[in-house]
Amino acid sequence: VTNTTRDRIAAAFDNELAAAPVPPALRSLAVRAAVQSRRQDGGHPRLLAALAAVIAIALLATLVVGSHLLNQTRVPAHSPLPPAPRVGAAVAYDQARATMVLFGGSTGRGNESVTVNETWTWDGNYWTQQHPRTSPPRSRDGVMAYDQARHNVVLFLRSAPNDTWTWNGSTWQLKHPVHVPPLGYAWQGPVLQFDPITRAVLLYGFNTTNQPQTWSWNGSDWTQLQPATSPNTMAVMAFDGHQVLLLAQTPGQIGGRYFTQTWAWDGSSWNLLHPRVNLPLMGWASTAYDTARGQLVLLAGDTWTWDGSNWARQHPTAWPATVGYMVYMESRHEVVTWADVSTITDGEMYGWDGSNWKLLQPGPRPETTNGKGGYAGPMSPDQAAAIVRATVTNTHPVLLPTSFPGAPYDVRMVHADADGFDITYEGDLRDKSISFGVVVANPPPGPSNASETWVKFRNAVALKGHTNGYADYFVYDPTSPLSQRWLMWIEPGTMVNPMAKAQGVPYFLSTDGLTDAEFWQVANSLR
Amino acid sequence: MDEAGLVQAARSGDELAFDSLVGPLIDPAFKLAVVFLRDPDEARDAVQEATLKAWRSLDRLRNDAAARAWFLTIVANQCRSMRRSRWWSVVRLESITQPDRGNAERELQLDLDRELGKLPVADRAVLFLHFYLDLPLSDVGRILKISPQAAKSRVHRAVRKLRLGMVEVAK
Repeated sequence: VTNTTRDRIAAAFDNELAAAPVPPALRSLAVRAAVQSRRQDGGHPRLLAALAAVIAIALLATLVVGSHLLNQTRVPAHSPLPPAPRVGAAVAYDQARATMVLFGGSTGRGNESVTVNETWTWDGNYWTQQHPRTSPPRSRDGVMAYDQARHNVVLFLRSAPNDTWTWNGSTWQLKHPVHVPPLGYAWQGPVLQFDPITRAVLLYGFNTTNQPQTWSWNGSDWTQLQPATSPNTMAVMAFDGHQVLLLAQTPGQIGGRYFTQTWAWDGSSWNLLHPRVNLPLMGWASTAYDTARGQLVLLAGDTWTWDGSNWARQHPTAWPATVGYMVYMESRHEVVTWADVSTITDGEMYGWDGSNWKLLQPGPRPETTNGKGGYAGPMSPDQAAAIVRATVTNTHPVLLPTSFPGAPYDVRMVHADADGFDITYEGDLRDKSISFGVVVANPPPGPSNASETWVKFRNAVALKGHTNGYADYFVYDPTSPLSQRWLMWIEPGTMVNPMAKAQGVPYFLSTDGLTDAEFWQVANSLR
Repeated sequence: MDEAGLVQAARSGDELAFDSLVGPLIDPAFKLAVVFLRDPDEARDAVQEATLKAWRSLDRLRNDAAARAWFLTIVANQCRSMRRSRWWSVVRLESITQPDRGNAERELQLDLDRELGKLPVADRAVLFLHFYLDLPLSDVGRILKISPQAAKSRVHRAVRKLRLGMVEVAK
């Protein structure tokens, strides 16, 4: 192969690729979606892929969804209409002035996206755009908390130069602390809450070498605290009426699964709590303490409440489409959530009445149901099955699980077209999930002790060189009863696969949090 | 921080290190995905999913292993998975057929462009990795799950096909 040939082939690729330039935001979208997905070792292939897709779609939606939804006209200074939805704003409830304070964020989509340094307040009825004498710089990565000891709102900018500002109800003041928490990227999540035990504002985050740090703000300076124990993963900070909590993902699998642990701050250290029910892994999440009902409300797709010692999943009949900016409004005696922290497609406001969400202010709502991108739940397995059987018309047979072990399951998302489908079922407490569909998956290899066996299963069509009637069964960690596991086989049917001995439909079943017996209960219930 | 340090840091959860490690590879990864999938939208999806899988499988990246080959291997796997997916390929079958540019385009480079588009994906991938990304055959083999010797013979076979194709067009 001569250099001329090499150069010409490279030039031919250049010509071909010129028609498909690298999307400018791909790096940040891909990396950000990945690191926000929670890291796993040989993790659940379908569930995480779906999670990544959801995050990516949500992020992309900020770039591609119709601008007519998003370009709102400027709101008068004192109006019941909210400002334009924005991504990455900071929010807190200002107790001294009984208003929700909203600062910064990015509005608009794609090239029209603008990061702002606007300050908005909402008193429970009216929105007001404030025009302070001084203002923090445009930012979409601030975190905010009300400082009960000094009766102002503290804003910490999560990326360099890590400025600290305070809001007194009429203007912002830049603080000049001697010490500044040297925190890394905003997406590593520094989080902020007032700690009633030490009467200081507590900050948790990671420095640039990824060490977890806890800092305390006394109104004039930051002090790094030295807790004896601490989570070492990204966390959401919350206040439960008595103490500050950190909701942090497990650093690794515990009992065969990843979940979110609950840590409490006792004034000097983070202590791991052991509630009866652990939260599942969470993507975006917002929290607020519901003073009227004495419980912490957590919105993370599902709604959870914390009564001081245990988590309970709530089953509202209506709910916000996304995870919004959330505070408790004393004037309304309820927790409210507005818009979406991660996209600008949602402009609705909901209030929590202790058992249900009710719409307080209409606004743009993201499309959650369509036949192409998927059907968003939650819905029952029967409803999901009806969608699949009505949609998948080119492929036979269409199999679906008919027996679900343990608690009731629901379906968050169905992808289906005429040729195939993919469903994820989740247990009521989100500690079990089942993914099933017509898809040739490419699951990642497991750890060194993973088990892969060929098991007799149905009338599976064999790949060429193999024996009919067997399926590929994979257990990531055979020593863990609840290990992730999957089964892949070709069901005799309509599809043509040149690698197979005969026509057949490739099916893939994977579970998370199910025992071996439960797994086979599902597998053997396919009809 | 060197690559081994970045790997170590990323493995411990350092997202900045992960961005430093994988971020610069997104560009070649996307191009590789386009070569595999011939569809920029699908290529974008493949890179995003591959990045997610890379984040999750950092523990399987040895400190001394080349991150470039490791990541491109994941991208190639993802692309293969997407291509193998029956209902995906049904939807995309038409879109993967390159349009004929017509008899007027006789210049050699244009012929080469066209013939390159006609090559099977496996041949396109090996040419892209070796000639476009300048990867050694050992890395090409690793990414495509074939031996370096097989990679070498596939390169030669693909080049031969290109030349044959161009001769046929010229006739």
